[in-house]
Amino acid sequence: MNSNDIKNKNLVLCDFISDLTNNKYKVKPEYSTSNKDNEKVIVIQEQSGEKVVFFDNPSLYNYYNVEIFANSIQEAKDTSVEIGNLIGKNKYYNWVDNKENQKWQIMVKQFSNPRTIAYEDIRRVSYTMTLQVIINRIA
Amino acid sequence: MNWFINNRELIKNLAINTGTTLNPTYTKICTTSEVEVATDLETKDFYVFCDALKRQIVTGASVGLNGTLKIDVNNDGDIALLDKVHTLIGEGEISQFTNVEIEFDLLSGVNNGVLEYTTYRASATLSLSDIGGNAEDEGEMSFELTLIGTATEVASA
Repeated sequence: MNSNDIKNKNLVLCDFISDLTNNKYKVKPEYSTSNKDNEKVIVIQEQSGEKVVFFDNPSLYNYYNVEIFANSIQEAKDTSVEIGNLIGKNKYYNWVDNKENQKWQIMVKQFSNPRTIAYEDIRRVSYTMTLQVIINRIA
Repeated sequence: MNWFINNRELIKNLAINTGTTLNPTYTKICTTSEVEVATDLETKDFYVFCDALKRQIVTGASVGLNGTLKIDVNNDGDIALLDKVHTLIGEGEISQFTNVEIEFDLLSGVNNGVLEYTTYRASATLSLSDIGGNAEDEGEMSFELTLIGTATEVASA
């Protein structure tokens, strides 16, 4: 993986989660959210976690915080269950970067149980969870 | 580029024969939480004249599959393994632990973006241990299947 691939990991996961949820949500990294995001939104942002490093290979494991904003608490909860069900799976995903067809793998090792967060200022409730994943370009 | 797999994709579909030898029915004991292929090598050390470096040759190998079975009472394969314990307890028989016919898929490579497997059938000796445990834990037992002779390649897919 080159440095551009490493930067793209977050976007690949966003698009994968978007497809997984049948494009019912706007799925975006935290840095691209805006106050116009008043629809159903899933925000995915990398967070800290222990990595494993090999000689001559990129480091393994990324930890992503997933926040689900839906129209109801139950809808957010149901989506969190769907994403949590990825544990133990190794999904292959076709992704296009600048007209280049790429193939990626997304292997979910662990996830933290989802919990609610109340955002009083915007009067919304989200579900948040953390995924431990291997996001790796294979072709 | 690297292509990583998880352990589910390395070895899978471990099944035992729940039919007869003439009409086998291989039932997946798919509730195993982990399966490993263990290869124990027997070696001999030796030295040659003129230096003190130890050399080693391999004289034999034992191939087996070890794992932990989460007991699923709806799974005929899991129940068949328990039946062997019943036979031992009730009748004092041990022959049911030899020549256990098994089938499993082992990763053999990748072709055009698809993982490829080789399916093997083999006879094995079965060893069960750690049946049960803490009261609050899910029911499980450990197993060791040691291959008797070579396995037969059934199919590649």
